Amino acid sequence: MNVLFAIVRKELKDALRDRRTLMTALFSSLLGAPLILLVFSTVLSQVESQEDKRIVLAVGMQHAPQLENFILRQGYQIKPAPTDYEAKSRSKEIDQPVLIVPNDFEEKIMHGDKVSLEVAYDTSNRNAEFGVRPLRRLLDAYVQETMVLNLTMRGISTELLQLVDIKERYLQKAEERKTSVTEMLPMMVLMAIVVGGMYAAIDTTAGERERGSLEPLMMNPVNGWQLAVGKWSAVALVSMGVVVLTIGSFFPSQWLIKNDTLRAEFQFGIKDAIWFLIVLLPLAASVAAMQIAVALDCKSYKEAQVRNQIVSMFIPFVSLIPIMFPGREPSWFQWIPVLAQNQMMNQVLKGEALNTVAVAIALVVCVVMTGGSLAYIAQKMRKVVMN
Amino acid sequence: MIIVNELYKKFIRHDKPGVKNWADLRRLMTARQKQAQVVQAVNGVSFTAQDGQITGLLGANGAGKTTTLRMVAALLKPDAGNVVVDGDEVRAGESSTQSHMGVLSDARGLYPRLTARENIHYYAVLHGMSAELTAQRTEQLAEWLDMRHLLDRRTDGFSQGERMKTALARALVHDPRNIILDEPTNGLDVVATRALREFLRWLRSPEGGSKCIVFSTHIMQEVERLCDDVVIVAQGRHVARGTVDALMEQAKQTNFEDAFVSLAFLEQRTPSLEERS
Repeated sequence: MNVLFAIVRKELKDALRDRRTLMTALFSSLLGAPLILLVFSTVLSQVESQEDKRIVLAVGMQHAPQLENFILRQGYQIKPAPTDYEAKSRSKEIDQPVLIVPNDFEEKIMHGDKVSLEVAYDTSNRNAEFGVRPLRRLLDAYVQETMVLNLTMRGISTELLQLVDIKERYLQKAEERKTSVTEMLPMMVLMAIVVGGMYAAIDTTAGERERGSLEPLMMNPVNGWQLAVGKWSAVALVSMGVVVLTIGSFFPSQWLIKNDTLRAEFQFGIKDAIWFLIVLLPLAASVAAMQIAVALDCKSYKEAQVRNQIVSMFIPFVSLIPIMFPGREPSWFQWIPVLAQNQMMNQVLKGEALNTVAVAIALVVCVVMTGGSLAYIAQKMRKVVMN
Repeated sequence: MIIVNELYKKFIRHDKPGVKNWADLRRLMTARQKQAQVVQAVNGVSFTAQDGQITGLLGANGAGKTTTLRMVAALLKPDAGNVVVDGDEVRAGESSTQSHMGVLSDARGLYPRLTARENIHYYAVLHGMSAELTAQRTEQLAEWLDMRHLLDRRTDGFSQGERMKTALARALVHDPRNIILDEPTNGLDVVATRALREFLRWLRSPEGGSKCIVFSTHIMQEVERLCDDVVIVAQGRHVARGTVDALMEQAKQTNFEDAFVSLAFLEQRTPSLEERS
């Protein structure tokens, strides 16, 4: 037991003093989530800022004093559009649609004639496009008001026009939250797990061999299992540390979210964090065992790095599998490592409760993976220096 | 005491030929891409190293010294023959004989990110020593090897001599009865070499514990100055053994170097074969 602890302690010390290992562990764990949330909150804010800008760019507003009055009453400002608004909208110098009022607007309205207003925007100008919807809403309200006034003057009740009222009702569970951008997060977390412990795993096997310290190590009276379990424990601790840091980084990331919609969507509490840990810690430990097994018989650091990177390339692929099965998830998903964790993380983010059986299955899969890898490492450990 | 009986070891070397033309490329595509070549690294080596004696394994580069010592250290499984250390047979990959053996390998294999003290302590714990004994033993070795000032520095920037001292202290921390040194003076300057020589003589003496010391070298002066018993290895076989004087007499030479050359290269030499895989 003493020997085992000595190996774990030495490997951990070695890993934490290795700048390469430490940097990857820290970067992969601490940067992913804040970055992705920052990017998404910026994009969402751009969309929403158009909605509450409350400025109308118009051409010929002087021809429609009634409309002008209405718009001002809604708390909007009216700004005359530049004469070359078409060119400027194309070059994205103006980031709003432009309202064009015809010269005879007021006159036609007075006479009860039909009249059209134009809303001009360039479809390649994303910001301007975002602004069309709020402008349309404003104009529709004006049309509605004029109509209601006209009808009331003629003594007709407006109730008649709105006999049927339509309301949307969402069939979501009450506690379920809306998710869209947060679906990206589980993949980031999975990548962090794989990348975080990778260099520790390589350093403890191929790295030791390359530096020539593995051979003298074998002259000590320790058996393969002690070495395998000792080295794995150290790498697993690094990987699990990455998991804890990554999940911990979600909390400060929430402050980075400037956007209210996203903040409402991404409500990550202590309870969610605990579920994440339950799901991810076993995975991190088993991934560490596999990474050591993959790197074990490599002669050089470089070779082990290439092999491990090929293995880690599968992670994004695995989390893409659900796209092929829209709607209901097949039950075999639960048995696939990484995929199972991906699905469970999404459930937690949506605010759903996790199925205990699914959690247990994932745990069993991880234990089997770890055991298999450790058995392989234990019997191979002493043989690698023999040839 | 170490008894080595008729050791044999061959390696299979895979040559990966370079691709220079279409024929090479075609060969690469087929199953016969690798040409296996059998290298007989050790071809019947026997010797006995007594306690309280320094036994030198002398041979040219590629003669099979390192491979022999790796088999003695239980790192390599011999194809035939056996090694008995203090009455226990060595089994490759097993740890039974390793607790009474201290091995300084060619590649010193220190952990660069650990200090000298941490390096030494790690091996002490792996040998099951208590913390108290470890600390005491480390102090003792640091005193003998004159390396106290090195103990708390990381081994990363160590010179060859400092590295050798640390590796030697690490290999001897559990006070083994048998000491195996593979080319210990490689890369050392005169001062460091002399210090090492003194230390080995002391280990051989009754005060130092009458250790059984085996070391390999290709340097004649080392052997002349240090060894009680010399085993000359050539082409994977031991070709002569005895004291330095006896070997000079056997070869009828007055100079040990001449004696070595005439003994080691008596037979027509085949092209040198690298003994390591």
